[in-house]
Amino acid sequence: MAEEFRRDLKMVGETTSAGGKFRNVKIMGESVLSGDVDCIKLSCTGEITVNGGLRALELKLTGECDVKGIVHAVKIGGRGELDVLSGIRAEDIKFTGNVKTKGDCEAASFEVFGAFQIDGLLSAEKLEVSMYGPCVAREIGGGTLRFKRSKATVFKRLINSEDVAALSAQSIEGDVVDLEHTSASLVRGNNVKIGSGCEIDRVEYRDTLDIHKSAIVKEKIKI
Amino acid sequence: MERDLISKKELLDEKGISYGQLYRWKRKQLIPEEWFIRKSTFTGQETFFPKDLILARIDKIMNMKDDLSLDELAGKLSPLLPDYEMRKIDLMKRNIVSSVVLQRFASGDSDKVVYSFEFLLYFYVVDKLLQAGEMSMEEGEQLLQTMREHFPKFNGKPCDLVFIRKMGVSSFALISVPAEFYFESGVKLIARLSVTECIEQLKGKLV
Repeated sequence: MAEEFRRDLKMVGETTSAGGKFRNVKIMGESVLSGDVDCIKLSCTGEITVNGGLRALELKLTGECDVKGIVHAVKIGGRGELDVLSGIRAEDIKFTGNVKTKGDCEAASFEVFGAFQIDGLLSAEKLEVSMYGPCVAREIGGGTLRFKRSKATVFKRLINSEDVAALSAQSIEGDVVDLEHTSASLVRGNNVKIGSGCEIDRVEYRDTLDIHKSAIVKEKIKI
Repeated sequence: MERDLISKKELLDEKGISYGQLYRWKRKQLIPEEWFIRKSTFTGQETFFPKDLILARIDKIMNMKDDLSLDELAGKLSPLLPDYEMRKIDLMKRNIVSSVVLQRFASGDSDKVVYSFEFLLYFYVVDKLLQAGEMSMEEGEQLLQTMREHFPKFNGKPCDLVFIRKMGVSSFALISVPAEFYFESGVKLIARLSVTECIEQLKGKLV
């Protein structure tokens, strides 16, 4: 069957649409899409709510994006807030702001400046997070995992001292793990680096382990 | 039923793969979600896998990944049919397919043989028709042959199985749905089964 014809969708202002298959979707303002959306590229400035799944080659967001279903994308970029109920699966995520999902978030590369709250598994081959707010995941797994506290939090703490930029997870597993300001019950990896401000119940490592003097590690095991 | 499980750590050690690879394969859906079994142990939560299934799958991935890209591989391993595989012995134990069918049509395979979902489906359909008393054993063989030969051609598209008999001579056909068909007089339509429905039923039985 020949590739079906896809149209562009462009909406400005406070709008609603039923969803469907599109080529390029461009949204400015506040928009509610009440069904599944399948498109090549979605760019949004403002607020968008999708009451269904979202499938796109490229997702470019400035503002808030709320998806009830699952997000399937090759590339996700932008800044703002991404809130997905069912889960995210993407190749390349580069986002500034907050990423939130009740399901899993899986990507080849996950680069976030900001924070995330993931109720399930966060996995990426290359994971790099510059923490600016509370980062929470049940489980984190992947190849290279790096978590750093953003330098900008120094200023943030002057204003608001409660909201800490730290990571908390039940288990973190990776080939290379590099953590800072993390509390976790289990960290497992080949090359593990536990940085300042960490509180880990149990670390299992294969090749190297490096623990910062201010970090608390209750148990370390070489396997 | 308790099946043999292997923990994630043991799996990585045994197969010499990295966390990155494992998670990449999971993301590419080369390893089905249902195989990740979370259990609590004395050290907290731990992920386990069904041992025979995961070991076979990882061997398959490692052998094939040299010639195929991961995406191609994903297409090969998980067609639209669900990704259940089962050993013959489990098949018997769980009584998904009656032992008569297995004895008759799979007596040559050892108990440890892992059947793909498609094969399970063939057995299931044969079993269903036999149980209904509409088909004889010899015809069962004929049906198995038909399914094996032609079902993969549908490539996951919905199809129906039609079973007819005229003057005592039986024949089977697989047709895509929706379709209408009419026979000459004297042909008796013995059964028409929606394979899609069978897939659903079988899926329900497997999980």
